[in-house]
Amino acid sequence: MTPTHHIDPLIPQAALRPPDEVMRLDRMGAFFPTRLSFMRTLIRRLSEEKAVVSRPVWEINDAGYGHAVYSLSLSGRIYSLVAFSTALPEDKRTDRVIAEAWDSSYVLFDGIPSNEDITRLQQNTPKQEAGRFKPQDLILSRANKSVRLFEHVVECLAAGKQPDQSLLLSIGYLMRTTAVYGNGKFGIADRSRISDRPGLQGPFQAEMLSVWLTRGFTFDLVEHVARSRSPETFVGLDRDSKRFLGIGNATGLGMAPFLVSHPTLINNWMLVRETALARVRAIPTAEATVVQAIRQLMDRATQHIKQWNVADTVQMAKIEQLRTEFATVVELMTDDWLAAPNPWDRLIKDVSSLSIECQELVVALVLEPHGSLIDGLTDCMASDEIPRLAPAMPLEKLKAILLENYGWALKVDLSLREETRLFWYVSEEKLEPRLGERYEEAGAEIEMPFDICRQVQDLLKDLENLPASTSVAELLLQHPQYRQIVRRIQCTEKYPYSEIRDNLIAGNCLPINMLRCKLSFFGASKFDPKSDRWTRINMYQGAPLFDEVQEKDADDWWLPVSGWTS
Amino acid sequence: MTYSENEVGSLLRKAAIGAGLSSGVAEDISRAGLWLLVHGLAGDQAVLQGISRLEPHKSLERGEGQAIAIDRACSALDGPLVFDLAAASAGKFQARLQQVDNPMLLLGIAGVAAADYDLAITIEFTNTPPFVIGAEGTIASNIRVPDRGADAVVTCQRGVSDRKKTPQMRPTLSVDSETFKELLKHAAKTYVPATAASREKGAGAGLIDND
Repeated sequence: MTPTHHIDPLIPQAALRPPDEVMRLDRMGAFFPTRLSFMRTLIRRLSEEKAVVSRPVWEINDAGYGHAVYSLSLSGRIYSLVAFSTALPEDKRTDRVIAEAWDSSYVLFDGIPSNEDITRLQQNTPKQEAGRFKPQDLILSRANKSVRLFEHVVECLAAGKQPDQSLLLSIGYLMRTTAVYGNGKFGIADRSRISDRPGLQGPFQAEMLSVWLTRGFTFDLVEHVARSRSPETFVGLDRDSKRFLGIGNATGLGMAPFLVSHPTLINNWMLVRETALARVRAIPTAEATVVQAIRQLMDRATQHIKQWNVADTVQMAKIEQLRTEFATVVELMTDDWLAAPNPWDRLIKDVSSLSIECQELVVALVLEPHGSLIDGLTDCMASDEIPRLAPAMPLEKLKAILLENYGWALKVDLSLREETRLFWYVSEEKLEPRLGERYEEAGAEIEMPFDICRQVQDLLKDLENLPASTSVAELLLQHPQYRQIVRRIQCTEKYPYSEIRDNLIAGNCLPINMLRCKLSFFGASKFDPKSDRWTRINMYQGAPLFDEVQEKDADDWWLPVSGWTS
Repeated sequence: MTYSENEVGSLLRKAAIGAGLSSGVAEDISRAGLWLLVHGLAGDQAVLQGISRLEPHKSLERGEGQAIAIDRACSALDGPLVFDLAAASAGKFQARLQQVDNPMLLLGIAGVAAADYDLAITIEFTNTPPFVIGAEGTIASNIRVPDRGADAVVTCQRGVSDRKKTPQMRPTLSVDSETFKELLKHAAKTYVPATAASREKGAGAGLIDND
């Protein structure tokens, strides 16, 4: 099947990389942020609109506790971050989702909050899941301090010094979020409230806005506490240091099922990314300005991966291989090599023998200087469409789609215990997705339906015994249990990138790959896996500050490097 | 109490799975409940009643073409399949449903099917004015929906309606608190107690939190 969506006859386009290549967990787990990522899209829009952030409320005491409100206008509407900073006993401090108290908590509010709104939010926001919210509350989140860095920065600024750059580099954020909730959770607004609003139509734009405003709050807070501690000697945090600090995040399994349960959305993300690459690959010659830009970007990428160090031995080995391989890519791209026809297509082909991590870094690299060609595609990344069943479809057609798009699932030998070793479930204590060991733990009988391979193989067996001309409606009359898998299979006909093409219950399934894929679309970098099931990341590292977003180069922050400013 | 659409939809889906429906059917039952709530009808109670007693039909007979007759129709189990057959039918489709266990839920399922399959659906319950549901989602909600056990004739025709955008969801949906509690009980059957092993592998685990 040849995916044909997003083809604009006026824009030349190479062939898309097929879903069998792209939708594999090992490749998805090697994605890097690109200029199509959601944080980049938001910052571009804020920059185009010359957005101005105001701080109408600052009720924070000398110790750094209280509340603040930040407001800005985005595409004609005002949104406000209401931030609460609270004292947190050390024995209550944990990044786990099971935590019940945090250093700070936030609501992105639709409009300007009244005093009554702030009072209501003050009573509920610090409680997070235990609070109750209203449809004016768009996003709910919380963050804990990096105690080491926050206190170090306070001490330094109070003493009139800048913080230790090596500590900034190794941590990279003053606070890290442990959850950012949207779409109706705990009574906040459903996505449908904002899905048609300019500025928030794209995926996760409200969440990204909330996190960017939160980042600004962390700078104000750390400076406020330092100034209060020693007003005479206080100095502000220098601009370069602020620019390098993002917002940390600990992300676990809760994020992984999203990619399975939103097939049309994940298709659109992937399809846009692949279409952008196909457009770039079709460029016949590299313009001088682009060559100059790509050389600067290669320098930056080299520095970025040099500064990317993690404790995880598997990921660190990949990073070291990436450093070596990317150096060969840089060497390869001489002036003569770049001057020859179809440079970007040749580049993608030439790196295909290197590690997937290097291949995907090069994909992100070649997209970066081609904004005018590809940025418009980001308008196609949202989807609120629910996959619909096609009951009239003859079974011969259903079978053909299955054989075309699920060959990967049919190859799995389900008689091997290793291929069914894991099961996904919802935990009783926090209602969060978890992974269990099927042959060692209880609960597999009520697993989440992520056993796609097994469902596909069972369905195919029954399809073999039914007349080809029979309709899907007749099949479901006899076998209603196939309703979901039939819908998924039919969905792949129109949305070829809607299914992860790997066995999600195999013993060797690494959920960390799903997390990195989704987080790369957010625009996160510095992936720091802490196990095969959760990772730390950094969001908005290198992004413009509140007073920089209006500047011309506000979009130039792909792969941030310590000590670098655009 | 009021809830977001996503909260209610998620709860209805989990409750339906907890009650024993497959995930695919549960998805449609959840959407049916939401459809009713958005139209000012008691979708929460319809789903709760519909999933609380999942008794398979007594008999199912096929007539000419795609026509179907079901005795002791179970709305949750049979409803989606009836409208699937209607969507697969080339012409006018008719189903005779005897002793429908949950007429309200059947209406919700019809509402979703009308939009998904571009069907104009008429449901005639015994001694009740017919309900007409267009693909654009219109239904009169001031008509009394019959109680359990009513007979119904369902007539469907494809592609005859003036299809419009599905109506915007309401900012909040009102759900009866007792019904909510009962739905939570069903949903809880889909939850698994986390093991120590799973907790040790979760996000944030294994770190000194003060770093």
